[in-house]
Amino acid sequence: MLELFSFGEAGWGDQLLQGLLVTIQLALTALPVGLLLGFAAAGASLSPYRWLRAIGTGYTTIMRGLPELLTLFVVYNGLGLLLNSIVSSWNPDARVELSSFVAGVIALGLVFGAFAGEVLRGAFQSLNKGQMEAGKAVGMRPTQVFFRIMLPQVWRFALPGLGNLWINLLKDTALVSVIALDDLMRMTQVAVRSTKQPFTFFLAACLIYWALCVISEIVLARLEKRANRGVRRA
Amino acid sequence: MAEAVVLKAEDICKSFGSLEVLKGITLEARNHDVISILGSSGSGKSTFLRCLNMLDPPTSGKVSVHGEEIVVKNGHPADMRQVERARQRLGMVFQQFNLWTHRTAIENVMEGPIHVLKQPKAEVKERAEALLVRVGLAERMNMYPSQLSGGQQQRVAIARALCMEPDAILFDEPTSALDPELVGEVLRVMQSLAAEGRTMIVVTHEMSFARDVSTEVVFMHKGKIAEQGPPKEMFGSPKTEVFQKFIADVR
Repeated sequence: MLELFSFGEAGWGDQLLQGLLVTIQLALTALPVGLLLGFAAAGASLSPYRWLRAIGTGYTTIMRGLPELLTLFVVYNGLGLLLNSIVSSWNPDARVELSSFVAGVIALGLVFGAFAGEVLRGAFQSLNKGQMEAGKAVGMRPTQVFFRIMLPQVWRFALPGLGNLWINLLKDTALVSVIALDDLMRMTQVAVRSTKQPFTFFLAACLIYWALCVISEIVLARLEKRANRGVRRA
Repeated sequence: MAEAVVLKAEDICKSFGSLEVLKGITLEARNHDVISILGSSGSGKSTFLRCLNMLDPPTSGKVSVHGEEIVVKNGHPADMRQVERARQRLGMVFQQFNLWTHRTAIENVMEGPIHVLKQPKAEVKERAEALLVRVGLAERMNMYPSQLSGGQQQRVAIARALCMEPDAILFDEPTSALDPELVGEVLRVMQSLAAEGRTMIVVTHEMSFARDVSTEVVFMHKGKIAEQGPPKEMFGSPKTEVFQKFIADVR
């Protein structure tokens, strides 16, 4: 059975490894996109301006209400059409192709951002106002108060929630296999179809996804420990 | 010769919504003044202190630091850079200490001089260490605030204010959040600051500090200054009925 997973012509080892790399690449690219969107959404929903709050709340509410798969289809098909109609109004001969990787990054980033926006909003609201006042009182600029006081402290409240979202993101990457991106899920399906060994390959995929989650949890635990420095354990 | 005026507040009014907290406060702090502001809770004394460094900008009235007026329009400072410059010269010590929880004691003290005043790190570190030694925390420099008692945290907070080398320090009820047995250690530090001629404005409930350490006492009542003068006169022969009653109640 092991030869099924060997590398080279005979086995599926190299294909699965390639799929795994695509999965990891996709998740690691969608993460910063999603985090940025999350911070923007949290900032918007905490803003003193009503129209900005409306945008922030609208984004998080709508995105969280859509099935991830649907979001992916809308981005992959809809955004491609939209881009093409914009481009062709400039130059009728030009065509743009939205690659399935980019569509995956955008869709997964949008979903992550909507949920992260809510997590971060709560985290910012949990900060002690006195911490920021002490920064202002020594004459810090608003950007310094944000980057030197709020941001280091906000992770403490946000990391548990963001960690959950990251694990969801890792698993949601499997959805992009439906738009023909050769991630771990799709490579597994290809292997199953060709070898007629569903149990073996699906079990292997399970173990790989599970291993990714375990590694993530170890890293997250370390990050949380760092974010909690200086805070007394209950 | 009269000392230079460090901080001047003229006719400060402050409202929160329809609630009028300050109804025209005028006060001047000259170099080496130690001004104690007394008053029952709700008299507006903390709000007044927070008006001075624009944490709560006044609704009307003028605040000047070294003769430079901080311009406030419609309840907001017109120029935040100007406010930031003023805050660099006015230290502040909070009732709840407000030490940055993610930084050690010495990092708290070094933060402002390095990142706001852009002073060289080695120089700041030396000064921060000397200040922490001075407030009696030589052994605790690398501890996080959560590992320190309230009195120790407040002494770090005082060192943090001092390390900015401010022209005046504002104290907002610095001992009110402390257990009674920890009040003394903080008051002793404040007393030593007064003795070396620091300009201080102290909102406090500590009668002994107001009477024995300060050069001037201000008694606030319902958003106004009810009585003001040197501590000896104020405590020896209080003129207003409200202040007489206040002293009697506190005793």
